[in-house]
Amino acid sequence: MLSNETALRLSAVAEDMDGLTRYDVLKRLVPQLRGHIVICTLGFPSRELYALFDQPTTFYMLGSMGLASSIGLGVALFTTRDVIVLEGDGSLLMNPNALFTIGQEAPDNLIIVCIDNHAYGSTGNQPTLARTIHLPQLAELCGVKNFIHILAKPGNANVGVIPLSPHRIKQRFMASLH
Amino acid sequence: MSAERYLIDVLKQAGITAVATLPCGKIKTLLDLVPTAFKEVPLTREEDGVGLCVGAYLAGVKMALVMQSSGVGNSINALMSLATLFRIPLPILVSWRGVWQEQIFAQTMMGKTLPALLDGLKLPYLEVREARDLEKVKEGLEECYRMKRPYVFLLSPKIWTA
Repeated sequence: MLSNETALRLSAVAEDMDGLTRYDVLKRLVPQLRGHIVICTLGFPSRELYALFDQPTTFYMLGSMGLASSIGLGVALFTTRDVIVLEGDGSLLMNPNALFTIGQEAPDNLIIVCIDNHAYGSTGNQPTLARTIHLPQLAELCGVKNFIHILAKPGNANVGVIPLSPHRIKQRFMASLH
Repeated sequence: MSAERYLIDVLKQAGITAVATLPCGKIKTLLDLVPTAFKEVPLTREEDGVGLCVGAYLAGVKMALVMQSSGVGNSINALMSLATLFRIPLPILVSWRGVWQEQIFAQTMMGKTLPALLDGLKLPYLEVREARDLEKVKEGLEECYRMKRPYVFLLSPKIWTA
């Protein structure tokens, strides 16, 4: 039920990506992220994205696992621009409540891209419940419009931590929006 | 003017335009007023609201969060590792259970502990125990936005009875 052109483009790119590592998925997504507002979940997803492509309109979450989609909704409700949330299966399942709220508000400009490797990648690839919960079905049940699901394989790239301070991430993000 | 109406007006004067809510039986009137004055986003879990309000602030919109005292416990990590870490102002209006004529004993466990808990977290808060304490809310909101931190308003059920 994609309701957004950016989502359609992302979805087209995402089609042939199943089975890659998160890093290789992100590498292929980067051209579609350029210039857009991006909210990225914490840990290796953020670290890998930073290593591949950094821009002021990307908000790296750093802490508060599970809240990337919540933050994304907050931004999307109050901007006309598209907001792309990069989620993982573990982080999404830690706060599925975000999907309930997003379904309720149903903004057309919010796009969730869930890179699902069935693992808590940042903590040693412990299995998540995504093995038994089909995330696209969950999102649809909640009424989420733009949900893009990419099945990946576990594994992290050898990348460092993000050298930006929380203040810097916030400051440049807000400045780039206004 | 009722305490509820007073709070709505103070929030509006502070530039708040949207409010995320969870229910409590003691704030039925306040919750009824919220959608008449703000964009309301009803929630199912408190920490989701912390993320939502932080996102709104990043987009340039001042949002407040309304919850029951029990829900503060559900939000702690988000308040610390998101709102405090990134220095995001976030006013939280808490229906403070367990401290005044409480009929449900379970509410006292979180309710009575809340000030010590917030002290431990070093989160600023205001105890609104009496109707006359309401006049301090305006100052609390100013401090919240000046300090760019979460700020908790503990609203005793007593203030709704005045």
